[in-house]
Amino acid sequence: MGRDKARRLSGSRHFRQRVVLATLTSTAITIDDIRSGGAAPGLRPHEVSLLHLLHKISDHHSLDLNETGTKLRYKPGVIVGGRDLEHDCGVHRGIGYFLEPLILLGLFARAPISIRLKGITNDTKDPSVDTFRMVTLHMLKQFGVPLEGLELKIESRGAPPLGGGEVFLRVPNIKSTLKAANWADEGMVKRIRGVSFSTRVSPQIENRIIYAARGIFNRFIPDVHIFTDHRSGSAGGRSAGYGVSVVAETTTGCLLSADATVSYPNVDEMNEESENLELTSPEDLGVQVASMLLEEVAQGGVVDSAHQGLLFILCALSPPDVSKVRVGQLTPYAIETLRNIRDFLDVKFIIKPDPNSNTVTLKCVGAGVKNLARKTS
Amino acid sequence: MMSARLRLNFFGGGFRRWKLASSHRPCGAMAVAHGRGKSSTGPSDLRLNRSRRRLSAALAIKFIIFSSSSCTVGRRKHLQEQCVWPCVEVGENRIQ
Repeated sequence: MGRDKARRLSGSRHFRQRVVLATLTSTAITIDDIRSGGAAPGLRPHEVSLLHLLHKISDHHSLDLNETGTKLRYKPGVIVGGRDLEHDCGVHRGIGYFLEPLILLGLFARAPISIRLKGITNDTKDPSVDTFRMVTLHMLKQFGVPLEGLELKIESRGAPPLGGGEVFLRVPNIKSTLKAANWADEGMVKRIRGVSFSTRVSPQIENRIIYAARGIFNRFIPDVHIFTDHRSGSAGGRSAGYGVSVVAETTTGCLLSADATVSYPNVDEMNEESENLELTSPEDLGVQVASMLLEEVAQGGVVDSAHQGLLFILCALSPPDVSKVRVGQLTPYAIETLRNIRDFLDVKFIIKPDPNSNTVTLKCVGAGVKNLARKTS
Repeated sequence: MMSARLRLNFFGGGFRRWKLASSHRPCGAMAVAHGRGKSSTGPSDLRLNRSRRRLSAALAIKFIIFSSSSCTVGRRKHLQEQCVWPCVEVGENRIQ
């Protein structure tokens, strides 16, 4: 799908998604008015870091950014992938912000990607690395991606504001195309699993989190097991923090997740009020994350709210067959994703609400994006 | 004669109650899940009132109560009349 003329876009909304879709479809884009009216105009540090990451895994691309950072011209190149790569994600956004683009781009790369990412592993903005390891990677199985080549190893954990975490990611490339998904049976929840972590604080905090969360879960199901992962020393990063990630597994293999983290404010969130900040107690955190997961279960769908966008992109990238998925209430991010898919891939979804289960069924005919970067023997 | 018959009926009723009770022996987790027994993982009183039970029933139907990998009740016949959980309201299809 190469295009000679650059597509003109405006604003900073969904910058990450736009850049990824432009790369996958080999579409040159020009983005104007990137926070031009704000006190801090231009691209944010994490967005610049994303562009640096693209520079490492792609070739023959061109990037043109004006002095104020409010206008970007991007012409995608070939996704070459690579082994033993390293990237510092910074402390402004979590590593989860960069994992989703890496997964999508890695599938259509010339060579498999193995990369070491450094930064914040668990924060309040992005999905945690545990959620990616337990849920996101398994979602690719529905689209024909084998799990053997996928790996996310957590070397050390990093909490805001200073981070210090490190993960190792391996993404295989697909031979030609993905597989169309027919994923509409959500099933019933049969077990709940999770990981509770703490860095540079007492390991008893994890037990307090688990105790409170189980108090909520055991009302519904007895099969609940939340593991503990206490990190100290260099494996615990540079900042104190604690959190938990939980996953509900259904009888049909669906995985619904929720995670929460308690830490000191991030660099972007630092202000005068931060001095009087009261951290959430472990008991409240356990109750909070349990309620979040139960809310995801109540909404229904084969994926949770955090994975709706990625699910729709994978369906749109699939071969020109009918893909059918069921989700809960559409999130604003998912709705914007559908718009971006229409703009870049010319794929429109048929949205059909199901009043009986309060879910939404979406169907589409995939764009049939192929891995043209892969060498053919 | 009447007193003897009454005594026999009382003994029979007691035996029946004992038999029903002994055939339903939930494990500790299920006792907590059913809102009975001694709670060690949450609030001491897990019995939900009727209105709260109806609210949680909408969510509870998405869960499998009996998982044979972790609960002994799943391997035995479940007496629904002994259960106060909302599964009675949604039928037997939740017992797997």
